[in-house]
Amino acid sequence: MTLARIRPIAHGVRTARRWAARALVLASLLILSGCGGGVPAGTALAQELWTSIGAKAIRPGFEIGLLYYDLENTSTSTIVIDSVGIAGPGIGTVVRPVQVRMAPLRFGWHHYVSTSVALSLYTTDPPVNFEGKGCRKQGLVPLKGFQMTPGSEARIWVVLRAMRPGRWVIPSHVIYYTQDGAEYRQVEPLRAYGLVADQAAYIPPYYAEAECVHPEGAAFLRGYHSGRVSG
Amino acid sequence: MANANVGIFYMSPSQAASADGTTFTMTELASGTTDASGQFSATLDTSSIAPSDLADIGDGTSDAFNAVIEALDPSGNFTANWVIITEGSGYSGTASVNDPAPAGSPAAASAPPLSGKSVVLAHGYRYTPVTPLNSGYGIQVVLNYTTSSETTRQTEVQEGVVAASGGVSVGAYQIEDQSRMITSPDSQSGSYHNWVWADYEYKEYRTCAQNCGGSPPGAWKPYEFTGQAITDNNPNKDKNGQVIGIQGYTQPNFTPGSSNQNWFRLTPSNSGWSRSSGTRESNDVNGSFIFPFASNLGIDSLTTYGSITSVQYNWISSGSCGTGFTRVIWGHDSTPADTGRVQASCIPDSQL
Repeated sequence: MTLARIRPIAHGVRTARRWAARALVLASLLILSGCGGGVPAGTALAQELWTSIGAKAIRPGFEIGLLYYDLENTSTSTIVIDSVGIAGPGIGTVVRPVQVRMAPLRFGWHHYVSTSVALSLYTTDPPVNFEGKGCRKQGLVPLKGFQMTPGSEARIWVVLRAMRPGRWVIPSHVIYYTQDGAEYRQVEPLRAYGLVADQAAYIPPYYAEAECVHPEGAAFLRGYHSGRVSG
Repeated sequence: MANANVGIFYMSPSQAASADGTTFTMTELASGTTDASGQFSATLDTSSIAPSDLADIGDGTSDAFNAVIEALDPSGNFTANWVIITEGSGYSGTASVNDPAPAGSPAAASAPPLSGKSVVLAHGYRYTPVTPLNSGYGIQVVLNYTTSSETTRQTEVQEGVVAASGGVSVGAYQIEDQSRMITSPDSQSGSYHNWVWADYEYKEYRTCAQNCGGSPPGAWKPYEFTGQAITDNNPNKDKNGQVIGIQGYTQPNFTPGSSNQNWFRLTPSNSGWSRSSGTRESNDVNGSFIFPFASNLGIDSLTTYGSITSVQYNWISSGSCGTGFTRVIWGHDSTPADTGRVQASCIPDSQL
């Protein structure tokens, strides 16, 4: 049972009489609830809201990079990332993750990573993008053992390789981490989905990525090449 | 209110649908008595509420419902307060007497019992703000105002509280009382920043302490989405008698954030970005959203991104957002996944 939601009653006719002072205090109305099991649910990471992001169809053999999910340690102690659960229909059969890394955005509350790029789907590794006055290249580090001090913010970089035609969905991302010696899991509500098709149209790399590949020493993901760009 | 009888009642959809003038007895979810300091606590039995009648108020779970908390003390002071309660979560608050006993009324030895009765007094229609809808060059926005097998209710609007004295005030938020039956999508392409509205029927209910005579307090509550197409051209009139018409929305300044955290980049490779749960933000549309049937009372609805009230953004071809520009989904000082209002723009790369 919880006492999580509080909605103060803000109305009632305010008469000039003293009746208004006679208040009924609704101390608690409780409704029974259930709870989950297994690795205990953690609360160190900011709870995000439901978003859903799709990817246009790609052909088998192609790869796409998903830089979608923000993690922010809002607790008062450091957490260490153990793993990220990437699972769902078509994962492992239609597409399979070939790279999962961390993309730091902020260390602690104040030390921002000035080269971080925007949330998006990328066709380069690492993700690069032309923003503002020039190219930016997202720094990537290994996921396992990545430490997030209080206030730190980072994204998850996932590269998926298309295996065979079909649909794929990652209904949510499950983050496993250790905090104060104990392991926790946190389900983050980001749904990613896409399609693999033999006859999928080739979508050239986005212009703002293509023009930063060589200057930043990045590479196109499998299937993509320089030449035509989209914009 | 010390030593008052307290009842928490639920109005079923069939009762809410009653014709004007109909009196009915609501389902009691809990009852008890306040202590000497006026405090009351209870655990609700919600087994009588059909799962299909629960609302998703933006957290992705259909678990919320309207209830009225009534209390009647030995002197005859009465309070009736509509609230939203979420299953599995606690609720706490305070309530003031909104139907005082006549001055000098003798106190009984104990508080009289509550009847749980309610009566439908009247009904009316009003276009209700859903959200400001934003799109930019090279972007298509789709507002899904729909229903599903899991969720049928989501919209929240402040009630207009009618006192026993006849005075009217703004009350708490209430969920639409009837399931949405009709899907009404709205789609806009290119630069677009307007409020969009859904036509709703509202009903006034009187909550009766013991019987429904006299003039105990009542409330105008959102009853049902009529199914009229979502529109940005509101045919209702404002307080001054002018047709509300099209109400533009002024976007706040673009705030990319110190680590680019406040925006999402749409490219030809994205098939859509959608938001389906919500931080909610109140909509008064510059005071133009009023209850004409409750003394032109200005009220708010809530922008709720949820399972049946979602926005999706798609990349579309546009000569006005080519090389040198980026299609951006963003939040003002907040990530697009957190913001109360999703923004969309075609922004020059130099401003990113």
